[in-house]
This record gives sequence, C-alpha cells and structure tokens, in this order.
Amino acid sequence: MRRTTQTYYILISSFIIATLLTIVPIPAWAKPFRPEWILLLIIYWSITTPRWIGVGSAWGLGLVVDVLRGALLAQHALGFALTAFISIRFHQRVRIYPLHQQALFIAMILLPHMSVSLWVYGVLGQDPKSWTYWSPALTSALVWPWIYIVMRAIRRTTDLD
Amino acid sequence: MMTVDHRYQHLQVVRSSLATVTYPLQYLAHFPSAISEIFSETLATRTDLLSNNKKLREQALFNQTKLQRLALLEQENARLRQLLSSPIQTSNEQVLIAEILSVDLHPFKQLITINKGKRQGVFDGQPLIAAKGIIGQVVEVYPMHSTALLISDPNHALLAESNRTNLRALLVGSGKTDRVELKNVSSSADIRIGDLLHTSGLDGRYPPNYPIAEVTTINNRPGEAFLYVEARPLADLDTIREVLLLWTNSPKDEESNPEENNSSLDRTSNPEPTAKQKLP
Repeated sequence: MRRTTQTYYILISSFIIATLLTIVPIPAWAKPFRPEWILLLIIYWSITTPRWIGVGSAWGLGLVVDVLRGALLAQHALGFALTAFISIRFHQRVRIYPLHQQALFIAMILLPHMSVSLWVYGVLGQDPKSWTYWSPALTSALVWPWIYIVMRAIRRTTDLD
Repeated sequence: MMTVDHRYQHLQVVRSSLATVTYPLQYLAHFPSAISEIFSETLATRTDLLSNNKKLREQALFNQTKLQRLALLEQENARLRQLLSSPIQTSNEQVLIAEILSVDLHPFKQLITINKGKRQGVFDGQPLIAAKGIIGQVVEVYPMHSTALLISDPNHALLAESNRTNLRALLVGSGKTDRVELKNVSSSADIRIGDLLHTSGLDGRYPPNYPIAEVTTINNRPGEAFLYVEARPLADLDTIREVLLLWTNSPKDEESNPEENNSSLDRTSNPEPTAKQKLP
C-alpha cells in the first residue's frame, strides 16, 4: 500500500515538472524547438513501467496539454494515446536498445503524434506553414538520453517497478 | 470529441475545470521571472530610483498638459459635431489592469495568459490594450484567469482604418510579434509608409479609434491586384507585462455583428459607427 502511494507521488511529480518545462518561458527563437517533455515522460514510463502508465493516462495528460495550448480538446490526447500505444507495444524490445538507438526510436514514434496534430491544425486552417514544426521530434530525441539516465536513477533509488 | 469541442459548447465545463487545475502550474512557471522582477525592484539603487522618479514626474507633467489640450479639443469637437448635427461620441469606458503571466503556451500560436478571469467580469472577445495600442482579445475565460490572442497571431484579424485617409482594410497577424499585414488593399489605394492605423470599430469586437500599428513596408508586386502592406504594432507585444482590459459602455452591441449593430444602435441612440466622418 505504501509502495503504491509512493509510486503515485513519483509519477505525479514527474509529470508536474514536465508540464512546467512545457510552459516555462524561453527565448522566442527557441520556441519551436522545445522538446515534448510530457510526451517523453509518457514514453519513458510506458516503456519501463507499463503497469502504471498506459493509453488511458496518456489520453488524460493529452487533454491537459490541449487546455494549456488552447487546442481542440483531444487533439493532443489522440496523439499521446497513439504514442503510448506504440511504445507499450514495443516496450520489451526498446528497453534493451543502447541509448542512441532509443533516441532514434523516440524520433520515429513522435512522428505519428505530430502528423495527427498537424492534420487537425490543417483541418482547422491553422497550419504552422513552417518546417520548424517538426523540430521537436529531433530535440526530443536529443534530450532523451538525459531523461532516461535521470529517470533511471530516480527509479532505482525509489525501487519502483 | 474534437468535432464536439469545435462545433458545440458541451465540453466547456471539461476545459474550464482542467484549466483551473493547471492554473497553479502556470503560476509556478511564472514564478522565477516574477521573483527576478521583485529583486530588480528592491535592489535598485537610490540614484536609479531618483532618476526614474524625475523622469516619471516629467512625463506626468507632459501628459497632463496634453490632457488639457485634449479636453479643449473634445469640447470643440462636440461643438462642431453639433453644428453638423451628427451624433456626439461619448467615451464611456472602464478598464482593469491585468498582469501577463510569463508562460509560453504554444510553439506557434501567439497566446498569453492574464491573471484576471470570470470573477473579475472578463468576457469572451474582450479587447486588451497596452499603453501604446491594441494588443489582442480574450479568447478563453476561466474562473481565475483567461487566455488572450495577440493581434500578431495568424488567426487573428480585425478591421483597421488609416488615420490619414480613413482607408479601411483587414489587419491580419503574421506569426511574428513585430509584424502584422494589411490584406486586400487595392494597388491604387492611398497608403504610405508611416501611416498610423487605428481600430475602426466595425468588426464588432474592438472599440473605434484605438491605435494599432504603423505601416512599415508597402510592396507592389506586378501582376497582383492587391498591395502587400506590412505594419509594425505600436505596442511591444513581446515585452509587455501589464495590459488593460477594456469594457465599453454597451458590450451587448459590441458582440453582435455589424449588420445588427446598425439597427440596434439606432434604437439605443448610440453613435452609428459609419457616422464617424472627417470634420471639415
């Protein structure tokens, strides 16, 4: 029972930090390159502990991002759920990849989410009209090793499975 | 779910409650910059404060003399309008200062969060102004805070009017905070670099006669029917900290569309927007 509450604390606080990183102000030139912090965490947790984080919680977190960004409800939720599904489907394989290969995998599975999002923006007539739209896929892949190392350390010290 | 959200109002409750839950997070993200601001205020040197004070006092004096002249001009304007028997425009507007939270909401939309919401009487579509000019309008109202769209957003449009010639054109954002575009200006239109643009009041959202932007480039591309006109917003959209929320005397009329506006304005004996004309 104690273990469960501890796990919840860790999960929730990690997502709170990710949300803060998503909205914290950065210089204007860096804005399009901001990694998808929340999505990276969803991928991390669904690869390592698919018992706790799955398609449903990814959907819920996606709704939060929708509200923060003023997007249509379920626009990010759909992409997040899709990403969670893919990463749970491959979680046993990805877990044993070396870090650089994992980063490549991250860049690839961000693409379905971004395509869905772009499609919705296109339908609404709000398409970004710039190639920098795709840059979060690259920057997310670049920060992935660090996220993985930090989160693994946290997971090991707290003995979370 | 997306369709429902786009077309109907049913999911407003979900959105509103989620937004209220995430508001503390936004405040937390805003915290570091707020702290640094407080520090720079408290750690300012005495000479800095003194010079600042002096500058502000001079500016206040300057503004007051300007205001005196403005009062005179207003009276004169009213008298001339009486001579022309056109309705007198009274300005009965209320404002409230709101603070902008320094959070980045969206990578390519120009959204800001302000710390006033439904409890303070903010309404959807309410215009926001800064010291120098119009900066945007409220798009989402939550209990404690609200989200606003800047005029530089590509999805934002308003009907602007040139100060010099009363030429009206659609002002659309470009996605960059220092640039807006004027659409559908015919190539024979009388517009020059340096022309000031103000709100026309005909779009039903913004009250008339607030400054917006200054024309910076005019490009006549051969073979195209319209000029390519760029303008620079007068307010510094990316550095402002505080904005004024504006209540005009008849928010009902402001929200309804222009066709209804004309008829309803006659009934309420308000000035008809099109009656605004140049004085001889």
